[in-house]
Amino acid sequence: MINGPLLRRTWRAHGARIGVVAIALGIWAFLMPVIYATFGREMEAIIESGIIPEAMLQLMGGGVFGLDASIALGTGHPFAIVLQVVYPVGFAAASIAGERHRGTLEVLLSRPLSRRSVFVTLLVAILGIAVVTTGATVVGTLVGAAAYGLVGELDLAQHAFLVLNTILLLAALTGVSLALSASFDRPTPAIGIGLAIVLVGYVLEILGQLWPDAEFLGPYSPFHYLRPFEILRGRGEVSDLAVLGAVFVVSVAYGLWRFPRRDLAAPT
Amino acid sequence: MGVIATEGLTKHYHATGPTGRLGDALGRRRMQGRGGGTIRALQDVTLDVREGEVFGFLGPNGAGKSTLIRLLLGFLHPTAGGATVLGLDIVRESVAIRARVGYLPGGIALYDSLTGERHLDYLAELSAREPVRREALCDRLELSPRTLRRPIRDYSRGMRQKIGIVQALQHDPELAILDEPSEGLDPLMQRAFYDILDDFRRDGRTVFLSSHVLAEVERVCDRVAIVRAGRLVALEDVAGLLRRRKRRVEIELDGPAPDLSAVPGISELVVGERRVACALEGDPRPLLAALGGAPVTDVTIEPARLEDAFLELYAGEEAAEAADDAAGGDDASGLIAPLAGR
Repeated sequence: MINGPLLRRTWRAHGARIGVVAIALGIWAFLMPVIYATFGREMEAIIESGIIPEAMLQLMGGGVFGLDASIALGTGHPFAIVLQVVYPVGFAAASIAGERHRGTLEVLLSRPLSRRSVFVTLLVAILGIAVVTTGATVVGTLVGAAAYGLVGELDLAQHAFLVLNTILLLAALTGVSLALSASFDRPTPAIGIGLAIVLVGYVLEILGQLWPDAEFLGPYSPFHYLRPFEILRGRGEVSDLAVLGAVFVVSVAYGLWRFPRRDLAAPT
Repeated sequence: MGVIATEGLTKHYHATGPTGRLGDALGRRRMQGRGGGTIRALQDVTLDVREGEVFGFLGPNGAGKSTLIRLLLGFLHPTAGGATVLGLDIVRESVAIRARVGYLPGGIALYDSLTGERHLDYLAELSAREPVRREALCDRLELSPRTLRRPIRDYSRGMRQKIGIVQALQHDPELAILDEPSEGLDPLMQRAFYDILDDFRRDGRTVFLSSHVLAEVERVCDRVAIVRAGRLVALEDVAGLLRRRKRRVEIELDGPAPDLSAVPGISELVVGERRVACALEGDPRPLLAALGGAPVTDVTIEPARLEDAFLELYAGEEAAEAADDAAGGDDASGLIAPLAGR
């Protein structure tokens, strides 16, 4: 089912860019323990002064600025999210539809390669990239914590949960984006819908957290199912993993059902 | 059973084109607003390509040539009918077919960031077959190792087409399906390509070639099928097609003209004072026999060319098309250049 040459070519073609994204995420994650070690006391003083509204405090982990809060803030920060979703959304949405639009898909599919195999291979390639970028954040966090003697404060079991939850969120976004890509002849609509899911989802989640009346919107966002503060404080929920896993399975099943049944007319 | 055998192969799709489900839904709504309808891209096509022949599939742009090829390779799904390639069903065994076929798409798109060599390696890896013919093909098409080391984005259209030909044939497929193969090649390279096809055929391989370059088809093909508005209008060997076509004949005389009206194959007879003009269909020997003893000073029989046979066939089919249009439904004819009036 997985095609070796296609997998190698996909990774090789994006090697440098994957490296840049991974390094940027690693540096970002490295900074979180550094920020805690450098500004932790000042942050706690600001929190205790009461100038930060309660809703904002909830966003920041509920009023105690520890190492876990710093790491959780870094994980859910828009900068980290943008870097994390570049491949699971941007590349996944552009992959099949882009090859189709450029005309290279028919060169690929003129080989003894089933459409399902193309879909699964690209899925594995992108999931592999998601593992690499998530791994870079783990390495960055560990190096940052080690540099400031904070490794003892890390709960590695909860960090493993966070990594698993992050990868599942990226997998769900990859599945949806790849299914979109397999459904369109041009990359623009697939990328547009994929990005809309990320942007609208992020806004819904933030709104739901900041504004009690909009709390009901939260569950409609994919980001609602990755809650770094809760996870790092030992309150991560398996149901979040189940929801993301279900989205992944359904979207991949749709893509695997739909792509082989599509007519691929000559590119225009 | 032929290398390619189709039986009533039909492909209809909506005027938006055969896109994906989401794309379909959006496009259908747009086209409904504009009065879009069903396109009959291919209609009830039955043909048989024999092993070891070069088979030409002729028709102008939009006639259905590429649709047939895409059906054979599993890119499109038939609306009705069926087909086999190398004895394998085009719907159920598409991957197995593609393992044994070499395909050159019309206006091939390549990965611009790769070098020519890397591109050919990659496609050979995907084929899972050794590129045993690559070296000979590159020699013939003058693709030097230095050229192959350059990125494809630096290639001209002709060089891209050469890479397309090499990638289609390098793994020595049993059947080559070539869509407009000489497009973009200069005359010298066209000749080299024809030599490649001759060698390929000599080695017992089969070629299915779609083209609208009639001189090319006449030069390389054993048999041709002509498609018009998605329908097959002729299927026979090239020589037969040429024999059938009417050729202009002009006879100069130094005396009275013989009576040619009863000669088999003669029509459109115009007898002048010292000149006779007519159309000749089929064997010229009865005409030459009828001229025996006449004071003939010069005879000109226009050579039989596939282009003229093709245009005659198209002109003859115009009425059928008009009748079909009247019967309702759109077909691909609206996309065809008015060849008959050319």
